[in-house]
Amino acid sequence: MLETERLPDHADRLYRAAYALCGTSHDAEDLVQETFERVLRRPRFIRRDGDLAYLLRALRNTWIAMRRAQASRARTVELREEVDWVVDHGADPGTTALEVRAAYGAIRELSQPLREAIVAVDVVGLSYREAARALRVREGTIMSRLFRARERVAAQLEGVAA
Amino acid sequence: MSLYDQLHDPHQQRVHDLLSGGGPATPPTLHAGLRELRPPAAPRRQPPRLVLAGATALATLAAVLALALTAGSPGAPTIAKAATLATRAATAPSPARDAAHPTLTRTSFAGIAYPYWTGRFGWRAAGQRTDSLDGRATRTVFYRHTHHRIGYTVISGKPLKRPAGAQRLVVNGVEMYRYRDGRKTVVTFERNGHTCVLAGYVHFASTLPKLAAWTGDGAIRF
Repeated sequence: MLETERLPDHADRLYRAAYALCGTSHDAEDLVQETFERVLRRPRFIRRDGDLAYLLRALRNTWIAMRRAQASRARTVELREEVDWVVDHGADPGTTALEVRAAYGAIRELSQPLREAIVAVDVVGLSYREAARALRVREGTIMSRLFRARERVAAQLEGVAA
Repeated sequence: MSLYDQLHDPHQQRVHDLLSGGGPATPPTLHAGLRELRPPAAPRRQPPRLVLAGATALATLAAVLALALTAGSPGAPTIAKAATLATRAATAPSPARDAAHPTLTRTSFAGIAYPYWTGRFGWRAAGQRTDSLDGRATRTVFYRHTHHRIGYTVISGKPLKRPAGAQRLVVNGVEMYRYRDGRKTVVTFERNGHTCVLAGYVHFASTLPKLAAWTGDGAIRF
């Protein structure tokens, strides 16, 4: 069974994934909270090392439901974003918060399938196989989408039209 | 070159390093909210039918007695009654933003200023009303965001009794109680010794606690 007391341990990864999918901190916060509440309402038996993949699938499904609900109404208010960008210990020494922010910004320009693939592997840290299971596609599809997603993010970072 | 090899070329790895090596910092309110989440209690075993029938008869008798005893008396104000004000119509115009304190509106009641949420959360003030709830004066300010509407009610006098069965939350150090009444979410907390009730139909369970715990850059005290 998913160990509920360990859920908050995944909050940071899930929040980053949610931010990459939604693009705003308010929606990301709501999305993670809602995902965890859904998971707690319907606990499942999963392998101990499968927590993150399961949570990513739940997050993605919640995000899709949230987008459907939002699609029926126009957003009239632009929220002011107050996001702190951090570089983790152990990250590549050349990494700066500014570049990380730019990379997340570039994810927002991707199509949904490419965005989901890069979020699963590069943001959440799943293997190709875990990402394929979480997103219910073939492993080869994940690799090909990931390749294209990274190409486009890299092009955005370099200021070159993809 | 295989796709696997292509995914490991330096160009691709740079993107991987950036995305796996940092990101937006998780807001403290989210951590606090997640710590308070608990799995729902397991369903109780079904009692035998005879016991159930007896219990139902007793409950009905108790309800009839309670109604007979309280008929005609105003009763005590409760959180549940205060929460019903959130779905009533506004009877006065929306409060304006307080120019001196931009995180507050110009309306206050029992010494409690109502927050101005438009800039931070997108919720716009949408009218207000005053009522008497079982002898207690109340004021409700309504807020709208897209198609959602909520009410922020302040009840004068001593704090009301906590709602039974509500979930206790502590967000940003603010203690509050949350429960659902059908599709309506209700959150209650105290400010300056008065009960405040936030209630309405919102999509996410976290919305009202987040609004309730907002300190408005220090202008809102609890």
